[in-house]
Amino acid sequence: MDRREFFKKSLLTGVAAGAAMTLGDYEKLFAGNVPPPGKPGSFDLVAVKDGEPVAMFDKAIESFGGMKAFVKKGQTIVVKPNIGWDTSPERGANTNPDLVKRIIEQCFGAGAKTVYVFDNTCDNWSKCYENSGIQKAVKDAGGKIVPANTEGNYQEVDVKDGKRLKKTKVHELILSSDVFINVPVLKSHSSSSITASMKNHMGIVWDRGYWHRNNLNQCIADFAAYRKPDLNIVDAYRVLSKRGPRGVSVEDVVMMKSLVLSRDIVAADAAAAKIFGIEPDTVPYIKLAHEAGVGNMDLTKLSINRIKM
Amino acid sequence: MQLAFLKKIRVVVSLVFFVFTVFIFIDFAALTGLQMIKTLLYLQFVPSLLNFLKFLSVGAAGFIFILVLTFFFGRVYCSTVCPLGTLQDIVARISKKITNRKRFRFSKPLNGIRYSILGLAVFVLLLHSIFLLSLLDPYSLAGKIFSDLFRPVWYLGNNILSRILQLFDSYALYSVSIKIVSWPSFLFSMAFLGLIIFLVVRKGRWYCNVICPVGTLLGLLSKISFFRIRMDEDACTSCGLCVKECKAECIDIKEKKVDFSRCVACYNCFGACPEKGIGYRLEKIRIPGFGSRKGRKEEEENAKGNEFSRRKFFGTTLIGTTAVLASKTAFADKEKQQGVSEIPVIPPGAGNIWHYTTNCTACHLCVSVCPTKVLQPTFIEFGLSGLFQPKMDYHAEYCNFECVKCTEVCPTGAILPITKEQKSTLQIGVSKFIRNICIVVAKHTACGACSEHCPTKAVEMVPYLGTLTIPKVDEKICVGCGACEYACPTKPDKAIYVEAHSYHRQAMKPKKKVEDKKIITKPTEEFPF
Repeated sequence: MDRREFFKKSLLTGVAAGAAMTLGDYEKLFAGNVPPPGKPGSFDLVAVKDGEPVAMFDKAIESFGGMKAFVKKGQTIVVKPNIGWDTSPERGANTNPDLVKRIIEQCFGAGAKTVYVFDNTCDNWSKCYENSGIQKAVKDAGGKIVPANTEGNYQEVDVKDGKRLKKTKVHELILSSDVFINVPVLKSHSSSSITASMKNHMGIVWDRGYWHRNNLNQCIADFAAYRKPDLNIVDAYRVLSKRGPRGVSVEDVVMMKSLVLSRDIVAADAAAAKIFGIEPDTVPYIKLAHEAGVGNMDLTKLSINRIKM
Repeated sequence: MQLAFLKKIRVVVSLVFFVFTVFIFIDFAALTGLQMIKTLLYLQFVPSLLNFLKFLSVGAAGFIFILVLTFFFGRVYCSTVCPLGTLQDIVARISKKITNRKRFRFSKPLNGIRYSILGLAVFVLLLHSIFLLSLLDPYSLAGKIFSDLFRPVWYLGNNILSRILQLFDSYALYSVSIKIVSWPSFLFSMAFLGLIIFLVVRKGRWYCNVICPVGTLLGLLSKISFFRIRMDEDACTSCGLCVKECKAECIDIKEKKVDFSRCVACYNCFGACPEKGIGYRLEKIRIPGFGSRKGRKEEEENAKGNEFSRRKFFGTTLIGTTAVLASKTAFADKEKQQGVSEIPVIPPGAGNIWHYTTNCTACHLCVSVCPTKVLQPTFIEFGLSGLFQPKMDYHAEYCNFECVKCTEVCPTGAILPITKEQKSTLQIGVSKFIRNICIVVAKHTACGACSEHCPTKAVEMVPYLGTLTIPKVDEKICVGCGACEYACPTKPDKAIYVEAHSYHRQAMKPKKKVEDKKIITKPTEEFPF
């Protein structure tokens, strides 16, 4: 019986069993590779592979009990993709627009009042929004695409327990919205070896230069402790394997056709690192955040639902 | 004469030109198409002339049309196409509404000054310097006012409106940066606008008839134009109503004469005259020396003026030549400063610094349309003759890899059109790395912001100490876009900067594919965890 079969069977029989046991105990019992047969929503992490972005996401979110596990009726949502670069979707430098669109649709399906989408881009923001295909995707799904190019929209916050980052300016929508869904794209990165969930936070703050000047990896870990997204959705469909985060040509892209979902930002990045082909503890900020107790990079300690399409 | 309707036409045409011209300078959302911009600026005299002198093409022959028009009807350009002219008319109109000071009166021509300035501008142009033309060209002066002053005001209005809309949860509008990067240019435009308002209120179109080289040149031509505005001496009752309306202050009621070389063809006098005694008359073409006695007398008077101007002319020429020489040597005197390009980086399409600085009249249209605002006015970095010419300011922004907007709009041809394909391998400068102030070396913490932003990966991170990596520049594939310099977080000096090329070069295409043996990202059968 392989994992998947086990999982399928457990799903059928496991509702009662899952209800009988407390989640914490159960996790300890099945620490490691065996996925729990529990009710939807009991997983720490869901990974999907070999499907199209939209189908993979639909499947993955089911494992958490659907979008309504995260979004309640009438809530305001921020969906934060990576829209950092003025490149086309094929180049893998920005989050997949189809995925973004589907997430917004699911948010509205769960009763969301408003879904905001923005990124403090690196290249010229309007060109990024347009050429990434995300502006259109957001509009088609009925979300609000918000320019994030004005310092006035950012408010200074204290980063509690930050070792290097004590204060930083955060976009007001992150502070005012009910739910924050982080939708990074997995890429190689010249500054931080890879980028995924935690590094994606650099698009919700104003002054990135400060982070770069003051121990970048520590700042990334510090901020991850300050604001944990309610859900991290790592797009690893087209993975920019080299010359990231911008990439030079489509030749830099590898079709990994994967997707990772987790409430735990460190776990999500750890799984992303594995998909990328490196060990999570070789990525400094993942290690730092793990040590600071932001989340868990040890995937063997987590209940993971692995879905092959 | 029933020609008062001409004024209405003039007002409509001038407002159409003015509103659209202002709009292309403040239009941050790029709502105006390229063809629209080109059509609108086709008739601008100095840009068209400069463009034509280079290419002798019909595409740049707008100034010939203006010359022909002037040869028929006088300085129509000055009251319709010229944005500085219309700006002055608007100021005059407003001042008439709010003050009840006495309107205009006749003033004597300042031929000495105006012909000296024209002569000097032509002289320095022959010496391949744009000095004077760039400072005095009415289109470029108006452009500077629109770009440096009107644009921030428009942006501010937009930003306030966008902020209000945000309160109602609408993001239909977006804010644009109103940060003034180039203060000298801003202050110059401010001072010039102040001066022109002062002059208009007191002396009407004084600038156009004393300083403006285009006005003086067209004025010379209108002296021999087919149709000229004249007074009907029999009808004239010397009431002086026309004089009060004459912004050019060129109607001499005592002599019952109109100095048509100074007339800006605004036609205000037509309607002002209760006797309808002033209007266009068809003139016999008079070749100097063969005219009537009256004509000869006029010529003698003019000659007197010219004699006076000749002396001044040589004086000013001497000053001008010195200025040109001084401005040409300005580059040589500068000491090389670390982390700062020896010469300013000039935009793609400009070719070389000589071409650029001798053709740019600093109208700041490129500054206005640049989507990233990497193009910013300089002060004296290009020397005295290149006052306020824009440069690539990599501390303000960096050049978008896929954009050729400035090359398309430049009306003088200082920046020549290039394709995106051409631009992708055009090297306008190269990145230079200053190792000792780089974050990685100085603080031993990871950075890599430069490499992150590099569109060709000419700046690559290579192993340094432990897991740390450090930038390395491959100058062959660097295009000099300045992304690395802009992104570099070190303060106050950047650890990576673009050293400008005086002549733009060809860069190699970035590698399509790189092999990295250390990290292998490839699809697997099973999950890797």
